[in-house]
Amino acid sequence: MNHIEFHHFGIACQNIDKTAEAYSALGYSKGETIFDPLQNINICFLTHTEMPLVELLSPVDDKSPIVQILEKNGVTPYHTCYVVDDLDSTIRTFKRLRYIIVSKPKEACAIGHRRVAFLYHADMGLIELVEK
Amino acid sequence: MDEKIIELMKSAFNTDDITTMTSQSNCEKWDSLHHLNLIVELEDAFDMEFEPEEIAEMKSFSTIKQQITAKQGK
Repeated sequence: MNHIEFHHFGIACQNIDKTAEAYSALGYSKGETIFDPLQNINICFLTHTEMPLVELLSPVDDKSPIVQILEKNGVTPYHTCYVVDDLDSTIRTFKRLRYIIVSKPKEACAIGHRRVAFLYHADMGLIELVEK
Repeated sequence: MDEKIIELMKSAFNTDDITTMTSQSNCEKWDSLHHLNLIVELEDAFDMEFEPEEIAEMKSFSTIKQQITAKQGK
């Protein structure tokens, strides 16, 4: 297995400011909200000195990929993200483990333009991989 | 092939109400999560892999069959 580290939880929400305010009660601090044109969503990272990084994702319009899950579940965990050394190699490994590629590698403006990809496993759900 | 696809759709969406006319727009249980589960089962059953662009287009029985048929023809 390739080296892999946890990076963040992704939380789908309708309103980043309102959800960030709720997280502030847990001691999280809100970063800048960024529009990601490749995913067609708004993204905001919440940081905490002692707890894992949280990424809030909100839809931009009815074509945003998180619209359906928000309609069904409301604010909800959406994905977990992991850092890998070699994205292409890790994807090849994960495909052998019955993951399907939901989104091919592309640069993510919210994570310093590092390459990210989304994969899905029926027994694990949606994961994001970001290249170190 | 039709019956195989329909059985996989029934299993993925946990409903018997599946026909060759079923699409995401007329099947309440066909949400994004169940869609990905269906793709996993289709890849296994037909021993093929779908590209993200293909997965995004496979939102009805007919488009699923089209994609599978096209791959089998290659």
